[in-house]
Amino acid sequence: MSAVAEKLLRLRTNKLLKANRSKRETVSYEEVKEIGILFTIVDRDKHNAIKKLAKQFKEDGKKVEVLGFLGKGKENYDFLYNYISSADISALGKMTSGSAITFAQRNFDYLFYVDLHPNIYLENILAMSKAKCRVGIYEKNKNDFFDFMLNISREKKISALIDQMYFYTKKLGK
Amino acid sequence: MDIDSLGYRTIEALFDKELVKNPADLYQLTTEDILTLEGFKELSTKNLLTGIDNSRQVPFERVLFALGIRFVGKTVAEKLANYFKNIDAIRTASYDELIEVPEIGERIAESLIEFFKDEENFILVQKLKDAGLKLSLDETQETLVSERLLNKSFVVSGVFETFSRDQLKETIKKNGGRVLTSVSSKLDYLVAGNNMGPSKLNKADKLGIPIISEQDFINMLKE
Repeated sequence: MSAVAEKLLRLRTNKLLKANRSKRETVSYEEVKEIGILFTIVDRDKHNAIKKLAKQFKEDGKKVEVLGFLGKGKENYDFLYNYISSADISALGKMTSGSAITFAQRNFDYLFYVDLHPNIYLENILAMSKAKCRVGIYEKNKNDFFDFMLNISREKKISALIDQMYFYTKKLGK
Repeated sequence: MDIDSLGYRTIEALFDKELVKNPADLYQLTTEDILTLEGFKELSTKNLLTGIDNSRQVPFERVLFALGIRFVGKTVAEKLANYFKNIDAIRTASYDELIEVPEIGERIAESLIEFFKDEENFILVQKLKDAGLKLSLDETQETLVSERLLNKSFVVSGVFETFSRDQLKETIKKNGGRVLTSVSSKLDYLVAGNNMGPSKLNKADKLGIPIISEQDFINMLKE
């Protein structure tokens, strides 16, 4: 049933995207108070890159919340952040994780989705999100998931995406 | 709960043709339905239907886990299945009855109640049951070790030397007995361990319920 649940999750995500009427806007970096980061746990390098990004935002005086996705057989490095897994959807494809639902309800000034390849579980959170501006890598047909997309090669390291996210967000304003 | 021969592409095709809208619909598929899917021939159709049919043999605890109830992982599903024996008993259990299960806490009890309150989930469970999935323990899984304690009820209280409290309760059930949580006139025995609270002891004494030690209990099993 799990493959069917994933298909149903995708369908629910599309519905959530259409139903989400949250106000989107860009906030100048100086005024940013809260930032969310979503990412799939891949390896130690990526984990360290996320830690570094969160640290950078905190040093800039922002409040940061991180939520990861832990796939089967992956290690949860340092147990620093809340995470969800494939066990967090019901057989009918409903997100059941309280952490994910709470995260989606947060009115972040910016929500960064730091993955080079889409993850259907995290896309479900993006679709529900009330963040003012959702930032992620450019992908055709994913316009509804993001308010700001960065067009970089997927061949590059995750640090390249993170660097660009940080660089351009600092340049964004009202 | 994965089904052999049912991959992502097949699911996409089944949804596109609106042959499947939820997991229970898989069990209504016919050869004719599957042959309408692109790329499916006689053998692949047969393999898919066999895979779906085989999933009807998946044990209750794994089906329960596959429902994706929040906080109900493999181990919790196993404990719930062994304790309640079937899905309806879990569905209708009260909060107090749920937290009575060893290692089931408030968080899991609340999540179970929430899950079964949702009509969509209730309908899914009914459909899966109608489709022949195992939503109760097999008789072989329920086989008793003996019937020495058949129809006898026990309340277990205190700390024991040979058994842990959970082991003692399990032993009662495996020998046909019932485990109750409170002392009443319907109770047959109070199994008293060390450091037990005085209230159960006093009540059992007042009601004339036999109070037995751990050793008395072991002797009962040998009779």
